[in-house]
Amino acid sequence: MKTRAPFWPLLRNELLFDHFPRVPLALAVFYCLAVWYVIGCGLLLLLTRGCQGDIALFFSSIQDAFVPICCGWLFNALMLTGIITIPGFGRSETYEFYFTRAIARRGLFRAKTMVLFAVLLGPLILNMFLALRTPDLVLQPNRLAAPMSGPSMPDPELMEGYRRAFPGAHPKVVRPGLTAQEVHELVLPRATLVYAGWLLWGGVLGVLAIQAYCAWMARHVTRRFLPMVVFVGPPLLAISLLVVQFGGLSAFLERSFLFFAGHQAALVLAAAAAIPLVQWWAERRFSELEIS
Amino acid sequence: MEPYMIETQHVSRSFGKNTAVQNLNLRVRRGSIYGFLGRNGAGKTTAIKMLAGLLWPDAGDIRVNGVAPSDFTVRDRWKIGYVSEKQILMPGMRVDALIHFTSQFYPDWDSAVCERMLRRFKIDPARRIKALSQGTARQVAFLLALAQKPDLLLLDEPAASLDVVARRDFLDEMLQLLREEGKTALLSSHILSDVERVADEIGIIARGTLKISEPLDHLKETVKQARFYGFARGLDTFAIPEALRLTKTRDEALATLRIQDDTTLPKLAAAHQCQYELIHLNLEDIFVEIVREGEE
Repeated sequence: MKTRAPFWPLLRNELLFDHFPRVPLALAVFYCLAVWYVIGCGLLLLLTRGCQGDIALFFSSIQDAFVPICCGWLFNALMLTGIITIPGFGRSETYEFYFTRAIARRGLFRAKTMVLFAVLLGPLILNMFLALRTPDLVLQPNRLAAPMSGPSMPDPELMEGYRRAFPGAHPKVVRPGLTAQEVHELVLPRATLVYAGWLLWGGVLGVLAIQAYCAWMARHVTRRFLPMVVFVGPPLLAISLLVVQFGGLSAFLERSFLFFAGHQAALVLAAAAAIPLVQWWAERRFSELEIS
Repeated sequence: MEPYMIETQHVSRSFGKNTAVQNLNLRVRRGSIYGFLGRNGAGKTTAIKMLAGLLWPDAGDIRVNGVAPSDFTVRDRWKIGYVSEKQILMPGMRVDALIHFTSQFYPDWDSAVCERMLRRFKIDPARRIKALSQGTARQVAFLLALAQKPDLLLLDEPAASLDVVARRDFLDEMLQLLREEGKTALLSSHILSDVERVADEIGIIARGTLKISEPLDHLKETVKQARFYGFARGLDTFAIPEALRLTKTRDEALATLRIQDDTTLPKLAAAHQCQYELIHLNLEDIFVEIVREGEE
């Protein structure tokens, strides 16, 4: 009969429940939840208030900032994942304790991953819940960027993308006194939820990529300078290339959003299927690690 | 049930160009206390880490309680206790919280052992690990390993940072545990007097190779030193091929050798027309002689 080590004590330990006095721990938890809430709300407020719920305005406003923000998030996620899941990144002697107890290494890694997912994706999940209660987004076709044709000409390809992604789009109710531009506003039903889902989906892909990278690199990483450079170097290079390649492309984010909106089910299913696959592979790598 | 709790065959392990362990054939009987000796960097820690499943061998086969460390299950781990000099316990945890955390993974956890050792070592369970001295932290690690009621204890320099009294207590506790039938310990230590006090068998490793592995009593009975002097024909041609170590001065020779029976030395003295004096060695002397021989 296969015996399993209890999982809850591992998760509780990874959440550092017994590692600090209660008051500082409670304050730290409160702080983290507050940060989550601010990020979770902030992502939506930026869209619904900052851009008056106009998604095209939103994309054209944040295009320059979005990629660096993503890259910053990816880098932080990489460091956090490295610290939590790679013995050589911190003090490998601590892992010696875990690895010589009656603790299943896979279980330990799973507990670590759960904490990572919660920390990194928590705000994005919260964002999804908040999105359920926010008003529908609108689209002003004239604001769709058409790089070659000037700002007054909507990009027909993007326009078509919106129509296909949101087949239920309908003109905003016209009231007396509205300008011609406002008359052309389209209401995109459930677009806030799709937006939040798109962020979460991207976050999941990012976390999975980082998890896989850390699992792949774990056996080579030590606290010495060269292995650390080898560990951090390739992602930094990739992130830099990403910024250079896509930082200036105005429609990249929008197209990505529309692609997600048009293929939600398939993309969500693919991400959901990738989670256990990456997890299984990373757990296997983790259970083969050495502590020297 | 196999007669050996630990059995390795032709085990080797390298780190880059450095060979840490080479062709290690180790056998530790069930119910014995095995003293594993060697100089710094001799390969003791690497060997023990391979036994504990922290490192994997490049070549060879390892069986601990009949199971390869790479195949250890949670159930196998229940029966293997491990304490090392460098092991770091969770610094932020209180001692009692760490005990509680660890106890949840062991169905046979012995709380009485914990309480007894906390009292004996005078450890305050409300203190955090980071506030403990290195020696006290080691005592906590030892306590955790004993309370799980292991069949095998792997101890890598467990008492190096303890004072004399604490070390004595530690050894007493270990002996108390090992009085139970079938319990085994592999103990690596620089403090040879401790090993001599508790070990039944001794293994000496030098430069990754096991030089000697045998019962301590047999080792002390058979490995002796002999001072040869009064050579009638000079000692230029004096040689003992089977000697573990032979050093010559102007008019006498000092040989460390295995003496199989009482006639060995008289025969040697007669053959070289000299006299001899037998010197009994303690474990430390034997260790030094064997390790030096390996290095020379």
